[in-house]
Amino acid sequence: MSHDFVGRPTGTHQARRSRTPIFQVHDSGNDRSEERITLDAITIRGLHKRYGDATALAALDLRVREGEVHGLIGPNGAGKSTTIRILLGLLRADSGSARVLGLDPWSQATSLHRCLAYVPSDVALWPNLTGGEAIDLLGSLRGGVRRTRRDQLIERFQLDPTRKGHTYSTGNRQKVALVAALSADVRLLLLDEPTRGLDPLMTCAFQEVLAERKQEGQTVLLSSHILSDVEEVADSVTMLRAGRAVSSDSLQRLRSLARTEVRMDLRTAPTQRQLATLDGPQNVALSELPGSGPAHCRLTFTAAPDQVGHLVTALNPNGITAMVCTPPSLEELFLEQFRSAP
Amino acid sequence: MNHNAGTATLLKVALRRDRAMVTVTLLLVTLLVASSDRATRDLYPHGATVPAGLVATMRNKAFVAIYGQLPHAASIDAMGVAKVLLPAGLAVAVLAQVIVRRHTRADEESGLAELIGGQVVGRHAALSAALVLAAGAVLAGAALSTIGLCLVGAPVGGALDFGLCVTVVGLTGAGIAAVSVQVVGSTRGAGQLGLGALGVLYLVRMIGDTTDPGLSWLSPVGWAEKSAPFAQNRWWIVIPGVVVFALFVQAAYLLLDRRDLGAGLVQSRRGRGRGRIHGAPGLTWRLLRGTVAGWLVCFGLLGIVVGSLTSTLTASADSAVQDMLRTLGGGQGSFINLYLATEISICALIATASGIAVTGHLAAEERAQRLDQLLATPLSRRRLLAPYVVGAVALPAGLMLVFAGLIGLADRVTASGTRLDMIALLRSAAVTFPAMWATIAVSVLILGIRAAWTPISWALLVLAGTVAQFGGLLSLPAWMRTWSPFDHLAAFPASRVDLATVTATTVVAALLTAAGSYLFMHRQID
Repeated sequence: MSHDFVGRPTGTHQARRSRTPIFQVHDSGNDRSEERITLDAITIRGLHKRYGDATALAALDLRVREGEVHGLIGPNGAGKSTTIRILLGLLRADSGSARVLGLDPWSQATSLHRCLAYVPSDVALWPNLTGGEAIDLLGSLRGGVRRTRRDQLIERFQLDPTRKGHTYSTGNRQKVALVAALSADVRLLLLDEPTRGLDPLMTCAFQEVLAERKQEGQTVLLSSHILSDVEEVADSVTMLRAGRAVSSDSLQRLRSLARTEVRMDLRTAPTQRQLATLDGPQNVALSELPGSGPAHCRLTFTAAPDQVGHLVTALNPNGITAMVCTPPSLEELFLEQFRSAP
Repeated sequence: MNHNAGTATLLKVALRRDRAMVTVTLLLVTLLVASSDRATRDLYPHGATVPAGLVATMRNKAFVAIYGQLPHAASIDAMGVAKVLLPAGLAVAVLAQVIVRRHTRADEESGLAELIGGQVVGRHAALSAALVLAAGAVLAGAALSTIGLCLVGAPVGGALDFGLCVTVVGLTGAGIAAVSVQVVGSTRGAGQLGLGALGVLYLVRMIGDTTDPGLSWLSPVGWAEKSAPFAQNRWWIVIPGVVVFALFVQAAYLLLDRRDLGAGLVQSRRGRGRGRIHGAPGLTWRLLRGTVAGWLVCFGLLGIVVGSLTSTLTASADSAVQDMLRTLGGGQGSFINLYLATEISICALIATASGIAVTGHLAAEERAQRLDQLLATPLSRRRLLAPYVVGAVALPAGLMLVFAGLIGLADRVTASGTRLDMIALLRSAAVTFPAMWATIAVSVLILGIRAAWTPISWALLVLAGTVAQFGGLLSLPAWMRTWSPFDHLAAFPASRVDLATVTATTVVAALLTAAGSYLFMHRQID
């Protein structure tokens, strides 16, 4: 399957302002009108990168569709920052190809940068410039600051823009970079561990803003090793390990692969025979409930998500008084993937 | 808890981090001191009397202003070390300042101090370790120069006293740095305060020496010359030297107890909440304007001092002096011209440092990862680099023109008879441009290859300067001397300008700059 870039030149002022999506068609030889048109903001194929004798990326494949929030997760040293720095054209890949918004990040960096904004994982500010000056400098390099949006963001992140760069804490430095990037009028956001150093309230504010940007059609590539942060906002995730994508899929699909944890309180305990006829549940545990409540026992098990309904029907005669279904968290998916991966 | 707990461990780490810098600097200082004395001894072999004319010249105010006073009843060794006594002391003092800063304020800025502070380490440990290392380096420098002088045949007593002079100036530098890193909340600011204070002490000595010598006793830098090694050998100046150091150290500990980790005594002021910086040129100017102003003030002052003293020089100096000046890097021509040519070539070396500092600043920005965010905007590498290249080329050139222009102006104000030709002065400043640009171009080339390697260009500048200034003294082979761009520097107005050399050097500078720029535009950002 090819991912040809079809559309008009990117990077023009007009394209930036009108935020016209650039179509990237997955042409599998079928009639194009029948093919669902999807867009790729980022396409990486077979990317290799070495630092000396250390391999940072080994045959990395990654696709980010236009308009989605894509999580890039993996342990420290998995190659997340290297990937993003290659997508910015700061680093050059040893081999493989990377296209961002239809452009080659190494040779067309300047045109590409008109359409994207970046938050580095470790924000370094100029010691003697105030946060406000840094934000406006980055904005002016991008062709102008959106005043109201900038001021709103400063308020939402509770940032004091009059302080000098060297007096900010890690979290406040992060806020400066976030305000600069999120107030930019761009199609793509590359965020490298954007919530690093932020307190839970600010993380929450960040996720709200991100959801708004997604509504407006911005594409986001978000790297993190804090999985719950990604889970809140991401449409799909790519898991990296040792410079290679372990799994890349929508969260929906990932969840369907993993098992839901079910806890039921029952009036009458299922018999051994009844349990034996049940198809699918694993990790079954039965315990008696003390006290004088309506239920006498608690049954816990895990099952594939599409089996849960069938199991509820099968256990209904036992009298279900309470039931909790917990879909697998990304955390669990992640651990599962990493345990099984080579 | 013991405030100094962990000092020994920190000292070991500090020594491990600084050993190369300390060793190289101290060896260079020793080489400079020993070779200067050796060269003077060679010039006036044992038994020969010191020519009266040479003594008269070295007592001239213009020389006294820069190098300090020549002691009474100066021996041949006193003449030999007169030119290097203050430079050696100041070099060791600056080294001590760098050491103190690196292990205190710089570590606080990078967050390393916080990591260390969480361990079983006393509140004073970092400063104590830095001071022990700095004082150790100063003492080592003193010992090495004493040994160096003894090896070339100087009397032991004078050599020991020379070492004590270096100790006094060096310890003063360390003490000043210990206080300045407490006062100012940023490494760069603390460095500027420390160097500035050292500069003021030098200036007090300069004013005292040229007006009322009693004033020079106010400055520890002045004590070094008052000690008069190889003449009066006043070794006891080490006592006030150590006292001053102890006072500075005491003050530093007091201040350290009264401030928070990472903060300075001087609270950082708030600034404007909205930016008015536009584009790469605006940012570069904003980041460098303080440095530029500092350089301009220094060169302006130097020009005024040199210019106002020119009229005191006698036009008819004896041939021995001319010999001496010629060996020191002068050329042919009248005495005043020789003198000016020497001053201008020395200042050209210093001005070159300003250009290297500009390219070094961009490298430092890259190492601090501040370029990532800039280059993630539509700013191209070319537009990022251009203001720095322009600055690195224009700043040293501008400094030399200011220096030469102020020599002329100051001379006009003070001189009564013959006046210096302003056009000739500016031309002689312009003649230094190619050599400065060629050296700076090498730093652009290194920046283009790798940001982390730019400190090499400092080493190259020191080498090029040493070869050019002392090549004759050290009787270095010709191939080594031709290698230094400063050696091609015509000692104009003392001798004629070789147009071919000037053009060739400029072309080489342009090519190296272009190559460095190309590499920078096409390499990865570390």
